[in-house]
Amino acid sequence: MDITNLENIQLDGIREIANIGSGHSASALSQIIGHKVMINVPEVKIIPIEKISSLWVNPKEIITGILLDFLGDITGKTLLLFTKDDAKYIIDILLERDSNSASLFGDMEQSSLKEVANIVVSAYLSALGTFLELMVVPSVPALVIDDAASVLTSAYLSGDAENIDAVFCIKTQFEFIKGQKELEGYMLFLPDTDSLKTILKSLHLD
Amino acid sequence: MKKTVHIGEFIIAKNPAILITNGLGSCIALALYDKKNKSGGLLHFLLPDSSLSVDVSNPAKFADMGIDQLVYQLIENGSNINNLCAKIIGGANMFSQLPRHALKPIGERNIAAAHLNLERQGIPIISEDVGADYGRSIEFHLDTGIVIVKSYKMGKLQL
Repeated sequence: MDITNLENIQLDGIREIANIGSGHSASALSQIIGHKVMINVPEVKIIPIEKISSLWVNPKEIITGILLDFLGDITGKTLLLFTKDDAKYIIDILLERDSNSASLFGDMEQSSLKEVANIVVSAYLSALGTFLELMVVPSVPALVIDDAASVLTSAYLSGDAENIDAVFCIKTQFEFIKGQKELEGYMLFLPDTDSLKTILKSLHLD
Repeated sequence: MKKTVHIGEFIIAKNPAILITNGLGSCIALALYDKKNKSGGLLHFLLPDSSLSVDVSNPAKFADMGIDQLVYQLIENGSNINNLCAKIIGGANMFSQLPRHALKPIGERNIAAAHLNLERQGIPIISEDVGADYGRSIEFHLDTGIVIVKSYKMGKLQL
């Protein structure tokens, strides 16, 4: 299948299921952090692999990336991205401490953030799975804190990437406001090419 | 005089110039330096072998085609292949926490491919900063051939 050549109706269908998944993950995130979380309409991005770092505005920025593979009837990766400061802010809420506390990413902080990713991604995948009548389960999360370009390329190429010319990605933006501060995060859903076929088949759009 | 090499690109230059590339995770930066001419080239490749792809319109994405092209261009621009030496940086396995897949991590395969293709060209690797689990950015100074490696995790390093 040529992912650069999908029809509009197929892209609409995929965007719609991503919307369902995103809605569930936004409400999961909102419950964890106790704030209203807004999401945008998911964007479908089909880009050459060498441009993958453009998925983050400033490729040199230090970010946290939590990668989960998913397995079952469909396979691929999800990547949850926050700036380092916003990740720290979420961790502070979770650990019920004030935001001026130590800024280190120790074991406790890292596992809290992985747990957030676990909950957010599981909500996304299970909504998707229920809607599509497919089995989808996430792997354990892996967390890195590094520059955005390194995180994005390495995440995509980790494992046995099969289509390495073009990247098919559904990008959802989360936003929530705390006082004067606007925090944002992104979730990337990166199905393998074969799984994209399976998804389109479930939607009767193949 | 500072020029940035993006992912899947290479640039050749002569002193005075500094070639920069950012966001090396599992990718590799290859700095080839001609000490005699104070010239060189910097390649930022993503993948170990062009046989992995259907679309090979951009040779600089791959270790094999990218290295061949870079060497060819340097020779075209007056370098003698015997004067070239290489430094390689990158090839990290950033998500080492995830369970292993059937294939070796892409970073490791990229490092092996860089060695293999440089050996095939008969170009020695005089220093390298590769592997581990973090991203790197580099500056390649064409006056001296020095490569400065910067990373969030390890700070600055000179090769």
